[in-house]
Amino acid sequence: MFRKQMKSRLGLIGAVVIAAAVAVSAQGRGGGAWTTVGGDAQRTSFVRADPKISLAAMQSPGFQFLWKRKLDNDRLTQPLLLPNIIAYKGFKALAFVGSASGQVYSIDYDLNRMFWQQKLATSAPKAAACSSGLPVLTKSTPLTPPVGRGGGGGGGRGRGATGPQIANGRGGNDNVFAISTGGMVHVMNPQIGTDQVPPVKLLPPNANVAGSILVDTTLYAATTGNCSGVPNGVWSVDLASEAKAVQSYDTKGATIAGTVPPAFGTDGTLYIATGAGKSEVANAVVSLDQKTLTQKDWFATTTPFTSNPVVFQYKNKDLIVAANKDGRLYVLDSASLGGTDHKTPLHKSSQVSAALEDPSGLASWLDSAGTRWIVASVGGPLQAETKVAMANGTVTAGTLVAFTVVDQNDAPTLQPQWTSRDLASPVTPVVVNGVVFALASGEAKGRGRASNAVLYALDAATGKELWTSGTTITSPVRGVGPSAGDSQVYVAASDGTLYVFGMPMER
Amino acid sequence: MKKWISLAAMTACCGLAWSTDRLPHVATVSAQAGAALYDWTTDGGDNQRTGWNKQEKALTKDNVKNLKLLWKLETKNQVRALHSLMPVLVVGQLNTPSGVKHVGFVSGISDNLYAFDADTGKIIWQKHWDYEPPAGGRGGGGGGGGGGGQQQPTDPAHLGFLRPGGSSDTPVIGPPDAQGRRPIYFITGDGMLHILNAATGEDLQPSYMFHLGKGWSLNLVDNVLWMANTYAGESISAVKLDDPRHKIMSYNSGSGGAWGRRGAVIDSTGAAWTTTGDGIYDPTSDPPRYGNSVIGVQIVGDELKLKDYYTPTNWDWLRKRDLDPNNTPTIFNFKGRELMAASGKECRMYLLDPKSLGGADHQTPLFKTPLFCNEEVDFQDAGSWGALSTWEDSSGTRWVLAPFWGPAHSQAKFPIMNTPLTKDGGVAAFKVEEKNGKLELAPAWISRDMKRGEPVVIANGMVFGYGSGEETKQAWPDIGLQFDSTIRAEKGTHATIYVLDAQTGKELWSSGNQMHQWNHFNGITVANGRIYLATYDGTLYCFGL
Repeated sequence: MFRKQMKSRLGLIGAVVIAAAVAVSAQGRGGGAWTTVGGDAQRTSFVRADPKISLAAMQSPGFQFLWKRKLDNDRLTQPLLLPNIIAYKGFKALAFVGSASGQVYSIDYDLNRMFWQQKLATSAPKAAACSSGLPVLTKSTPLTPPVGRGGGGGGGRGRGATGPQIANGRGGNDNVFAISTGGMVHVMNPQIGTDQVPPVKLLPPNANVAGSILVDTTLYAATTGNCSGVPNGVWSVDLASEAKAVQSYDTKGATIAGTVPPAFGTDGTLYIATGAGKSEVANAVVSLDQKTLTQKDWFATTTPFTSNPVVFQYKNKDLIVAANKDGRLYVLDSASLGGTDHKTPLHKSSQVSAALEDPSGLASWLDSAGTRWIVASVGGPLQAETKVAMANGTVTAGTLVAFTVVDQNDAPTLQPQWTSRDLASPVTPVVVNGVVFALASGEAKGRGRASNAVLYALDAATGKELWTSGTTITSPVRGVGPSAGDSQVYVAASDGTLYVFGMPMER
Repeated sequence: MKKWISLAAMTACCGLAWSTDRLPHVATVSAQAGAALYDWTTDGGDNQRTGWNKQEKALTKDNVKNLKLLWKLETKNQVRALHSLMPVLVVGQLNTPSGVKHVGFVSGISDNLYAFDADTGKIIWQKHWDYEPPAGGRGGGGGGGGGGGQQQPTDPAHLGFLRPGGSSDTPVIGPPDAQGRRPIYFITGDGMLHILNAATGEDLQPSYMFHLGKGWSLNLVDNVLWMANTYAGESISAVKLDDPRHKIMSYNSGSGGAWGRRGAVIDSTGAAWTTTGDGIYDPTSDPPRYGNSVIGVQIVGDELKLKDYYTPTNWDWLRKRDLDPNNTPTIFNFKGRELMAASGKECRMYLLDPKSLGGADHQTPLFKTPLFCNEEVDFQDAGSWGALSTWEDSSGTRWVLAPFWGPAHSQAKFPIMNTPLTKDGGVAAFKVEEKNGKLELAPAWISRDMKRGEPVVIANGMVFGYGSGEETKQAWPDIGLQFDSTIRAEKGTHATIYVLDAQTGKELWSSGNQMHQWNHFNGITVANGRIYLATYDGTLYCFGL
């Protein structure tokens, strides 16, 4: 009886809150949710709008170091952001971070207060050396980012169960989805971090999970490195299904490239890029069916890809860009990835570097004039073949190279525009409202020595340096790009310290 | 429209001149059994919403320990959402058909108005209004910040707590008319203004449309009736009662909504002020938006025009965390200067000058206190809600009191912290002081713990406050954000009245567990030796000696 009453009650309330959310979110209480690594399903790392960060704002004092918090003694995941949840203790703006000790932290990021922390009970007793050893976090992510927002979310009173109905709708799309090192999926209550449902089996223990995302009700993960005997590939489970059957796509040994696979097209198609291997789909960009994970199409070349694909819209089409070890970026047409021979890209850039390091990071944004940009993090000096319109100093250690997408002979091409200042081991940048935040990770490459990470703000049109964190960060960052939202930028350092930079808000 | 009156119309007369003007006053009508019985005709006692009862003499610090439950009146008012009964108004001596009586009035959310014998708790007359539900859901329901139009639950107890619909205002009682009849003004949930004979419940004139929204306590100033509103796009509405056109004047702050339970507060110039609640501040937009602010409007011709406003510089933060100025300010004189105090869920108190509310930039108060509660930054279980109160003691010290929910801030330094220390709420008292030519609000005391401290009344050197016992949470870890009022209703405990020494906050008396239920957005009344407070189930409790 109570359950029936409750169901009816929830139904009514659901109708109410959906209507209410429309009105309130339009006024933007908080904003700039960062729901998954890479910011959106296309992995663009693009925050489309921000009330305080802009090129003009960055040319005046204001943006600054806000706070730091030591969370752990080892690596952290890229922070995910929930700018507004009406929780049992009020409106909260939360950052979710996982650590190598199997903890998931929820921090009120405006106040630098721990809201909750939970150890994932299904963590492997000992992380495999071949894996990152980190849990992998994601939140529900729409296939297409809402207009004017960085990736969904936000809203105000009235926000509620408007997303995937998991665990009787509790928490709605505010839930946090964590894959433990034990291979289990935890649907975490965003208010207190407890499991909303019993953990769901997705992967064998101690896989090396390169990335994950939750779209609709299905959680996807990509594994690489054949770690602990777990095949390289893509895995999925519909968390709303009764059976919770696991689907998978096996690359037959080809590694999966990049830090945030898979990427989604706006039609729901998944894209991965692969590295070396004896597989037929090695050195390729592969598209997969959203429901079945069966292979739909592919483009193959002769050298490994070194970044995950990034999907971007160009003239109302989904195009895919990925970086290759041959030092070039490949642009592919989602309608036919490699043409009839699966070997013909839409465009291949000039050689940017002698060999694009693994992993390379790509981001993409649309500027206010409607120009599509691609930016790539590049190790080492620029190849002479690539001529940029504006170089911001001599590059020795690494740089960001920005391209515009321009039609030539009715085909999109990548035109080099600028290089950034010299950056030590740059990782995937994040782009916020006309400002590129580049992170020199300081990670040791080859026989080089590690250095402390430095965050830079760059003019997205020219690459000109606008701001730097200087010596604020006191350790390197290992392969984790910054995340951003709500006028703040987050850096997860390798010593387990979370750094937050942004525009201060008077409280 | 169905009307019923329990007693037939009777002729009443009252020979003394009476007015509810801009300055605090209470008229003593006559003496009965040796005690002067006075009136309490508007919520907060006056249009400055001071909550200060200057007339009370029956209750003293010495005898309040003997307070006991005198009677209970079960009105059977149908709840809507979390609302039930509103604060009691009192006429000390009212000529009724059955003689001169000490009469109380209480309105119920379901368009009910009751007149009762304050001595016995027996109903003298009661009246109920029925009407077709207003179009577009404006009559209630919903819960979120959006518009109406949602499907309404059949049981009004399930309505969303933000939009109860019905008659949410507290009436106001006017001076005697030419025939000596005391009018009582009341807005029903269909927006109609009813002007009734307080002695009989009969209409003194035909009702007419005033304002449809979530209205708060009415003000009667000279011949103008005011109401502050939460929804329906009008922050303050007013009507000149002698205007034959019944033209409703209104002003929209453009964002937010008034939530102060004592409604608007009126300054010495006749301007009406209100906090605007959760919303956007953008004075450059068209139309301008003054959410998270304190605004004042004045009558110009037959329109309401913005007079001035104050917006805290951290309004964006208040907006982000829903910590808006949301209670009724209070106005008072200090050393010959008119001042205003305002507060809200953030849990600071602002001292403002009605002549230039926020200075040239509209964002500079005379003084603002540090946070005195709501360290958690929680809009639902913490912060100051309802209304501020103020009084002046015999030594000329001006006090301002704020009720609050949740614990006092850990950094709040008050000379007197009463015990048990606040955990669920209480009352914070400040003194207005002048130091080096600047005005300050100096912390004085914090009361004992109360389950959700509510607006207080000050009488005869005592503070009469209460903890509502209400469950104020709106979201829970297991079920998330929920608007169905029954969820909260099931979790409430019981209201408790506390009588405190106004100088120290020391507890002098408590009703303990004599009240069996909680209440929501109610209000305590003290008049003629009696204390009135109602509970959610529609029961009105009267304590006295």
